[in-house]
Amino acid sequence: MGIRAEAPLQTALTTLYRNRKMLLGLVGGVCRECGTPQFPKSDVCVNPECGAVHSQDDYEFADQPARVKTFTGDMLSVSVDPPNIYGMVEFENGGRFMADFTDCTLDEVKVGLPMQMTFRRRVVDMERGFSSYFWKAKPVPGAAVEADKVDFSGRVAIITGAGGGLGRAYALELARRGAKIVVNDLGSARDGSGKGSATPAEKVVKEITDAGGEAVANYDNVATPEGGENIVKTALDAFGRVDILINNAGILRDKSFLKMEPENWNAVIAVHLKGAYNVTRPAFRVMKENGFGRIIMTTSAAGLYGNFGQTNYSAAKMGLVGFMNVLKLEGAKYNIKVNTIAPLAASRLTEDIMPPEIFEKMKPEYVVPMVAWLCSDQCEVSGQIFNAGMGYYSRAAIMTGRTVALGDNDNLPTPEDIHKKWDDINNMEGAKELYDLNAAMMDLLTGGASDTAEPEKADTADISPKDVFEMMPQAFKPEAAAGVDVVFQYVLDGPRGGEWYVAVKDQKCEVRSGMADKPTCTIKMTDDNFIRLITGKLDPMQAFSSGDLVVEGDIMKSQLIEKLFTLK
Amino acid sequence: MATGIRDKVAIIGMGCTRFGERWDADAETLMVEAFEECLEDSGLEKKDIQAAWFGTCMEEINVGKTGMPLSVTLRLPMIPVTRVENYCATGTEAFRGACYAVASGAYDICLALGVEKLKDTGYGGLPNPGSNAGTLVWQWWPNISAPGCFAQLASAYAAKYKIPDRDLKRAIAHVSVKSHANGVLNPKAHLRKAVTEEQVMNAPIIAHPLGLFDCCGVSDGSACAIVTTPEIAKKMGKGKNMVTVKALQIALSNGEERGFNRWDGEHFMTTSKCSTLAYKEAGIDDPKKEISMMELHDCFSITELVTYEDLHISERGKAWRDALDGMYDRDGKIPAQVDGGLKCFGHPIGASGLRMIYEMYLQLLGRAGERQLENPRYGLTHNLGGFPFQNICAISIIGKYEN
Repeated sequence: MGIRAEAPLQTALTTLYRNRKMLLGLVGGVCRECGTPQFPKSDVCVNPECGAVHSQDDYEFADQPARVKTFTGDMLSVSVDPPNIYGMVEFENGGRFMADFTDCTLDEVKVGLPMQMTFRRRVVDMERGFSSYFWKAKPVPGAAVEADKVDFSGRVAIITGAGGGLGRAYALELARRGAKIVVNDLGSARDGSGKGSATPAEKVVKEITDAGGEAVANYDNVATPEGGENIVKTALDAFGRVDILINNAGILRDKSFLKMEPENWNAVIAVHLKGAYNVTRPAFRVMKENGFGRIIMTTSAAGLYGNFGQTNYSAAKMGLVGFMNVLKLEGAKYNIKVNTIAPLAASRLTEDIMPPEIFEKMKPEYVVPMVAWLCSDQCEVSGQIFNAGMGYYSRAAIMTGRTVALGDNDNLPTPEDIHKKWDDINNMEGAKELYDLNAAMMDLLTGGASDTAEPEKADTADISPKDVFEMMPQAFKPEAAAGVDVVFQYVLDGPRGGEWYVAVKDQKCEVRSGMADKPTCTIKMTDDNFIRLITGKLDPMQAFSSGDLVVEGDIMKSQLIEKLFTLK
Repeated sequence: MATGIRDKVAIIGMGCTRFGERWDADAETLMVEAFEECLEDSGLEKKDIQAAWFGTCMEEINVGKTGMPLSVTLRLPMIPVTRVENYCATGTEAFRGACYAVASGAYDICLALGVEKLKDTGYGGLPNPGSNAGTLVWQWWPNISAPGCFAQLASAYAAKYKIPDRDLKRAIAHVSVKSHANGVLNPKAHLRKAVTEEQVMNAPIIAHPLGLFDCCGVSDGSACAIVTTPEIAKKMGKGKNMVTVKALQIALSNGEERGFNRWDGEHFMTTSKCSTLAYKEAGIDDPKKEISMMELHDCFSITELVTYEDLHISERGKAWRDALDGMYDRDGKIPAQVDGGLKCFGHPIGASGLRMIYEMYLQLLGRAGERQLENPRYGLTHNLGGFPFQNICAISIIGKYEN
């Protein structure tokens, strides 16, 4: 806590005389009338409902459990070791004050993080003739890890089809981590037939409440708009909000295609595709209002890759992917993240398809962590598809191959032209993921410009940043890297851009996509400029001074790149 | 039974200097500049003024203690002059003294003047509190800076309402972008350049998460007002388009925020209470519908943002969305910082409260030039001194005289 005991001379003596214990032992007061601990010990109790006068005994704060209430990292403040990270700590048993977190880095401090007070040091200022006693708050060991945990306290989740299988497992896990749950389940047979029964949903609710959680049951059918509205209404009535929606309800009516009667087709589409629409729409309205939402669609490997006898199911499942692709755009402004899970788990829907020993390993519990992560506050991705099951996790994506440009208005392409270029068109090498329709159009138009564009442009289009980073380990010169320990972070703008980082340590080089935790320096530029730089068409110094190349962090270290790699 | 200040005091003249780095002017020159404009606006002569209230905050610096810097500078004819100081809420405090003197019937015509001369002190920002700050201050907050105090609002606000840091950063960036856009239109403003959201978001951090453009600077400047009763104003021929005071409220922390486990650190308890009392005094039932415009104490962008909620205009936890939706832009539902605010008009501490009232006064009289809003009815000013965890909130509401 930065207690600076004595400051300017005229206050120093009185303060030190009065408050010795306070400075040396972190002693405040506790009110005899209302029991409120307070710092410093004062003549009038700080509790506005009490206000007792001369009612306080000594109270030592040093060993009291405390948490961060507010914080900042202040470039201007005076501290033992600036820049100073400080904020308010609140003691769980009462009392609060401003404390120094000076030994922490900014990303270690979070509101709610458990802290403990420790005496730091006594500083004597010879010039001005006073001494300061510094207490600091430091995180309780292990608390930071604890604070990083996925936590759903205060969140309300709707999970459809949560009476059993995956839905139930999601419900139990989210509830265990603090979410209030609406357990929706119609309670019908696996093919959606038969009268609904309240039992499965009620059972899950009981499991949750028995474990100390909060949940309500809902028995509406997702297949109707009224059902969807009602499910959301159940959440609002019971808990006042909706933060998370897991569209999990599903039925199966497998038949080979010619035997697939319209009723089988329609029933499956109604529950999976229309069902997701029916519940998501009213939920999205609430999420938009709150400025927060996490929505999960459930797709399937059958839809993503194909599976015999499931035309209805697969069509519905890929319909949900399209649904997500648009919803991710419409929700982006409101912090609504929409992602899709392709679970591989044994459930009612799959139990007779799988051999028993595999069935045994296909526990929903392997899918749950991925879904819980996608529902978390921390999760920033939107519009992505993840396979999860049996301890294996991967991302699936719609990839687009490199564009081939053929013909023009005066010279329209023929089927023969297509045939001639078939190997190029059909080639998925260098394929990439495109964010939305605009990006896809841009890519098609610019990528296809290679026949007519400037030669320089064509050069840069030929090789992509991704290729460069793939080649980087081969271009690495270990002999030049003795004693070098650096992480170069690249952040490239543009359609072929992205984030990669190159870590060099122990004369080894590792290249990964994404953001590094603590990069030595960060290099920002456009994808095209990056290629021009790599291919020697852009002078790095010139780019740097014109602003085309931005280097953050340790600029000097960025000059090592030329020494460490030969890329030509 | 007290009946409040509503319509008991009329503002008949106001003046305000250009704010900024006024190397050309000392504090005395600034006072005279504001006073001359004000006196001419009122149509009175100096001898008509019967009592004065003088606001200056950093008293050691360039102005001096007591009421004499004002009485001597303006050569006031040996009348009562009271110096007041209430941190950054000093300007409103001076106005309040003059208004109460008129409303009490003790005087007919009073002057309130605020001034601060900070740019030639040789340091940036405000000085650290010295031994004048009280015996306990060094235990409470030995090493904080003003940006560091207010920045903590952001951490607490984001945590309480679970708002991603990036979204909150963008919302407070919008607050500053809006004020800069307004400042461009104000010839008296300290900063008159527009900025983009990207510039604000990418600016160097001062106190996390506040960057350079999230913080207001300090300025040199002076502002003043001459007040009287509506009856006298009418006799002076000011009956048409008369601006009267509707509410004047001040609320001071009692140390609860800092010492008692109740406040969540994300808003101002004082403002929340002060605004409720001000609306009641002014007879305003629904501020969201009735307040036409506001000048808020935007010392930092996050201060302005949470104040939208403490004024009971934005819902709790929703101000960041309202800001992003443009609700407080000049063409929005309730324009805030029409003159550029502290952020761009500038912040000469003792003058700021009066500067806010000056803009509302010009707007109500249709004299705001390029910034003029369409037919405003009530203007609110919010003037804050201190820190989120211990502060002084002063609110005034002025409007057209409708009796």
